Amino acid sequence: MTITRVLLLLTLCCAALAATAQRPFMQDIWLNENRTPLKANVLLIDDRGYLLVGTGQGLFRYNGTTFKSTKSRMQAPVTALAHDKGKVWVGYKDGRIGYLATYDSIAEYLPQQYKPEAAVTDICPRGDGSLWLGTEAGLVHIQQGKASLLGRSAGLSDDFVYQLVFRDEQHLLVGTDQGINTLSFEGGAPRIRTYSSDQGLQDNIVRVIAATGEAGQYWIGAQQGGLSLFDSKAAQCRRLKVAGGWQWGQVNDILPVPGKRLWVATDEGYLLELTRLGNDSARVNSFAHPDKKINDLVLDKSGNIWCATTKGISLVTAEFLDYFSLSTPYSLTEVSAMCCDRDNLLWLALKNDLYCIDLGDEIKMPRKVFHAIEPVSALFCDRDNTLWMGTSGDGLWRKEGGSESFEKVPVEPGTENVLSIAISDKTLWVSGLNGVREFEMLPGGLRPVRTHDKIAGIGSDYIYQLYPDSRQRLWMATDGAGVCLLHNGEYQHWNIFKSANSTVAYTLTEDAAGAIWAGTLYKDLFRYTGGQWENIRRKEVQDIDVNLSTVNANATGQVIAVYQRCIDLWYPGSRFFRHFNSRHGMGMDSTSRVLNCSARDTAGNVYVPFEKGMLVFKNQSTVYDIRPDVHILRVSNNLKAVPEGQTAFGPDENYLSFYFDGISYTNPERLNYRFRLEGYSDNWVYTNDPVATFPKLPSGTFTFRVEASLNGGFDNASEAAYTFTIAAPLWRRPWFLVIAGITLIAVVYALIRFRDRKMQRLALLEQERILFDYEHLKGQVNPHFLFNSLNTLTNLIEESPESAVRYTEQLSDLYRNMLTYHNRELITLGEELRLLSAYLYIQESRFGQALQFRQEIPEALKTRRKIPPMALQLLVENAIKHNVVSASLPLVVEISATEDELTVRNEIHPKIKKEPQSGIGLANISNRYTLLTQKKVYFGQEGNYWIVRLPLL
Amino acid sequence: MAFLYLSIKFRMNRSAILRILSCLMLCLPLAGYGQTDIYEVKAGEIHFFSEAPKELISASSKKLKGFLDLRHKTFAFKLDISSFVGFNNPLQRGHFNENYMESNVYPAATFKGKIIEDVDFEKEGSAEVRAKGKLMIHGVEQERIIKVQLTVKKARILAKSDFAVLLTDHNIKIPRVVNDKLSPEIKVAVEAILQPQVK
Repeated sequence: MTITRVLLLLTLCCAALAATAQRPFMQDIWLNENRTPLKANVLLIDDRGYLLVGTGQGLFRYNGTTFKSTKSRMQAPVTALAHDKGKVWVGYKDGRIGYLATYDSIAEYLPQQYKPEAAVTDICPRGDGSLWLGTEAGLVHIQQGKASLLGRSAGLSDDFVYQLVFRDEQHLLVGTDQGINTLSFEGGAPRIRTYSSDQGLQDNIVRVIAATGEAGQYWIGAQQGGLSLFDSKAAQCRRLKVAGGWQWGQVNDILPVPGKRLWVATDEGYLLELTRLGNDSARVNSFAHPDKKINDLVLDKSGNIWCATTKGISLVTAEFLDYFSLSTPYSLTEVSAMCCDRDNLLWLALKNDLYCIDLGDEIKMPRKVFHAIEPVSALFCDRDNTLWMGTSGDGLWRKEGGSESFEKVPVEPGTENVLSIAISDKTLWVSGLNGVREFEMLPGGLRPVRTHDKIAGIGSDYIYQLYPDSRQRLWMATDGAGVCLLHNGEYQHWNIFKSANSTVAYTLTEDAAGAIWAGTLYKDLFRYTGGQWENIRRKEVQDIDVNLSTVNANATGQVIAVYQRCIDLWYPGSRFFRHFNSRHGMGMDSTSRVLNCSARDTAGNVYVPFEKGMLVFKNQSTVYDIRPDVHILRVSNNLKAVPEGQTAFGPDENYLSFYFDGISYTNPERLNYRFRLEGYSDNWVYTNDPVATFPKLPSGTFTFRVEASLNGGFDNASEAAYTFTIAAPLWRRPWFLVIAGITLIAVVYALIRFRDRKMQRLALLEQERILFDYEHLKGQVNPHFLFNSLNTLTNLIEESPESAVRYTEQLSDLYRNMLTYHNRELITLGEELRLLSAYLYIQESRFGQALQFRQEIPEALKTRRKIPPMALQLLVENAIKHNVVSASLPLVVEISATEDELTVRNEIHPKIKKEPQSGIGLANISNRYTLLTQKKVYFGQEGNYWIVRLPLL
Repeated sequence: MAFLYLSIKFRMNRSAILRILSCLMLCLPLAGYGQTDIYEVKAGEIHFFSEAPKELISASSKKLKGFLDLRHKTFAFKLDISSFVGFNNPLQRGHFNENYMESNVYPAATFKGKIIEDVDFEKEGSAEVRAKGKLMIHGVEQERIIKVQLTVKKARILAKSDFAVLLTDHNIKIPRVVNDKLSPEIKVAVEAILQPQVK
């Protein structure tokens, strides 16, 4: 009976322990949209910051918001992931291996002599390009595309390999079903040493080997018996002692974190937080998740722990945020003041009742210590561990450290209502409704020193918080005068608090870097560094109906700003903050609206009350980087995807879209971007959409740059860039322009030259014709001709007046023709013959039978062919001029024509008395022909004949 | 608590069983044949229980077959799913075979692998060992580590084990209507007597 009762009691205790122990927030994330469980086997944070999840249905990529499935021909579950130099390796359950060929597709890797049979359990890429695989059938070494298997036959103690860890270049640790095998490669074939239970290993099944951070030291996670520490150099194993023995089952993964702590996942659904105590023992915080097994753990750069579970993945915030629940009588609305003393007792005032919680206890149970007559409004613990308590109406109380009895502090009237208490050195300040009273703390009691109020120079009688900083200065958050500093008896004010929105300061704190933070009524958050206040308020905060009630800082530099419905955790180094609110699915509900309601323990962890208990903003052992990452996933040009690596485009490929992706596991819902296209515009474009499109880009070199932020500030934002060039069109390229210019100049030059030549020739022609006309006219009006003609006319008038009339007509025809045709370049042969006939009539009238004229010209030529005008007449004139024309020796002029030329021929009977040789007749004809054509005029003596050949044109 | 007593001996058609087992033997190293390293299941029984809020189902089969290779510490066991008897009613057996286990598609459950611990089979006595291997039920293979109590007595080995099988692990789907009649976790109890194989 008694035993049963004891057992029952124990069970109850355990249940209570599980219910109230400080525990991490665990947020389950479903891998698929229909929220069905999908087993996640392995996790990897890749070089770009993506969380890769190897599941029963292939590989998924997570950016904090959505899961993207990667394409793969291999359909088996993913059982191993590794990355090296940006290359991600994937191992499958059916033994095949692949790698991420593009950002969303996996290509199979087929080394020679590798037979994919047994599941790949681990992949170890090496710097020399070789690859080590742990499989269920042995160890595989792939070198230069060739695989070699090391199994039991090669000396391994077992074929089933769980994990591979390289101690250094020369030593490989292999966890198997039969202990640890150490392979050393110093010279030639690997030497294998086995370390199993015969050599002191606690369990032969070595599921996990994880580096502790100390050289050669490893955590060993076993199938049974929990953890041990393995010194690989000394080949020694020490079992890790935990209180009550290991009771959490098979170890699935170990995640060492800074600060001598490690997280362990077990097959029975436990997530354990181990803190090392001394060399070989540890304290365990265990959190049971009976609904899932945890297979793998990773820590991302922003401090989140990711768990691969049988249902999907889970996010654990325990590296920076924990909580412990408090049961009734705790109620958030009752919390009126908080303080943590030097013994790490958390004092919590719930209206009139003062409770105490021992933070060192596993079970956080509020214990009622004191009941005040009036509500407790302020708590302060001084350096001597004396707890000071201020009430609303019943003055000041105090309690010595160690004791539990409060005594009322006798002070003069006017301090019944306490708003805030502060002690620095030997001075006590109490803020009430009439300003701040300053007391000197003497062994015998308090001695009033002075009153700081509106009249004295603070500018306000209501001081919500008194904050003594690390440099013996007293900061005051006042209602009406903003923040006021009291230092060496002097008040200091700043103009920044004189604007209407910031005259009411509510809360103050000092961060680990010595900067002062102040929160005001209108939700402004100010930071004071280097003598300057800066408002770093969130842009969107104005839209939310919240009050900034408390600021506090932990020991590692993070600042907590508590609003009524949300909390910001600032990382002053990066100017980014985590944002928590009720929508985060962590069960974190409303926080207190009471001003300055938070506490800091001796280590610096900050406690903030919320609906279910206390949130613990922990000191952060490393500086987490919560800045979002951003990557350009793909680029499309003219709506077609651009292959990876292509950065040069043709002139018409100028419609570019950039699809980028922000990664944030902190507050993905608040991701925003800005981008610009350098070379096109230097103005940033701010957006929430992960895409940017630029239609109709001109040619040139551009850089697309995108940055991601969580709170609109881009000062330290991470960025991604893509530089590309769009080629100039053909007609805009320099060489083309040069050639085109040269060609144009050449053409213009040629044209000018051609025109010049033509003009010159025309001018010459004109000159020749004028000369010809002149010669001709001179010939026609020369006295002989006129004399002869008039003589002939005289004779004709006497003999036959009709002929005389006709003669006169012909003579006038001759002169008219000369006037009509003298400025034409060419006339038809027929016209020329008609001109000639007038002349011939006159000459025949004069010479009678002494001049005979024969022509043999085909009729067809007369209209088709052309010659310069007066040329024939000139030739006949020449013949008459140079030869004897008499009845006894008649001059016969024969004109004949072929298709191409006209021949004028006469017998030579030179006159005895030569006419003066003007010598320009034939030359003139020749010149005119030269200007008109290439064909040459021929003249000369052939036998007894004078022959002139004129080309017909 | 239902405990099994293996006093019932069942006869078997030796040639038939050898034919079935020859398939299983492929995964065992052939070396060592002819010696007394190979032990064979002479009598074996498997019992399963489903403890759901509204119904307790249990069934058993005595047709467990299998081998244990002492030298290489390997084993292979096989059981015909359709050989389970003792359901609450014949309809239940039908559902078990047709709907859940699909025994016409996946007629057998197998477990083959190796023993992690070193056991001295020469000495009489009892030891708890871990049998690690691939448990194939409903065509789905799971890597399992199962604790087994081995007792060596008079050249016989008595193997005894209790373990649980998660239906989701083996892709056995349960209609929503029978959610409270069938437990998602099936408890299995195995007992077998192994004797040296007769050549």
